[in-house]
Amino acid sequence: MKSSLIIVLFFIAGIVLGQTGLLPDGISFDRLSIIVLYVLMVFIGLSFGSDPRLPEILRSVSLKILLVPISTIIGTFLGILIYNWMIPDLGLKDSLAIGAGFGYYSLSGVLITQFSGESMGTLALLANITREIISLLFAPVFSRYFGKLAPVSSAGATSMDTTLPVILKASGKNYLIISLVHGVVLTIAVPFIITLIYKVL
Amino acid sequence: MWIILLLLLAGTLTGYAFSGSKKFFGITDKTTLYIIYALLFFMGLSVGTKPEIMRNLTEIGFKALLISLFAIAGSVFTAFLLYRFIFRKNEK
Repeated sequence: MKSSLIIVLFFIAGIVLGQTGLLPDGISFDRLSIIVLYVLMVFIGLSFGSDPRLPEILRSVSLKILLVPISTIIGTFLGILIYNWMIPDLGLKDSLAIGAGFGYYSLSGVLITQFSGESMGTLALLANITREIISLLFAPVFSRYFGKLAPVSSAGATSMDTTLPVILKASGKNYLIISLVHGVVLTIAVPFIITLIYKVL
Repeated sequence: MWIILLLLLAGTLTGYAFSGSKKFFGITDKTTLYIIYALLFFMGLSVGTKPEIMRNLTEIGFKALLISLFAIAGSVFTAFLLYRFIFRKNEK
């Protein structure tokens, strides 16, 4: 949770510095951002692949447990399609891609900025931060009224780290493996699905 | 942009080769966080220098809230069905 706060503070610090107009004109951060993004992808892979929990998580994957992240993906897109039908102000690609952040706001914000510009990137960042915050606050409510998988699904990719404690508190300790597998699958799905949406759809 | 997925895959496979090492994980995990700080700072910079985004920030924030509510509602709905029809049976 502390690192989420720092991430947001860096974003705000960037906005504030950008607003002051102190930056010399004509500096483009786009190229630099792309290179740093490439480095980020390698490092996300490195830390993901070497995560000490990963071997155990992979061992406990079963078809039944995989239904949970699949349900989250289908449900998220269902919600996004309804949003897009009721409020058709965003393109289908952009709204689906924003949904495909599954709460992983840092990566989805940066990726969608590269594919679709800062405006969509900012929207993706804010929408996915909001998903994390709502999941943190409402995990007990979701679990109580919509079953013990609901807080896991709501949390999306964050069910393996930032929202894990509140999920376990709301649904019980035996949801640990489900939450971890769910988080791992969605974390890896985020860059794939976003790229597929913009490149194939 | 396919290169993004290729780099991710290469990183994951390399990382998996080091999966016994807690030290390797600790270092890469920390570095990942620092890179994310840098990227979000750059993203803030480019947003801050775009007046058309700054003017609409409240509107963007409201839209973000709506989108996240729809995304959460959809996934909570399918999670409810999954729990009700498949998971709950085994629990009792």
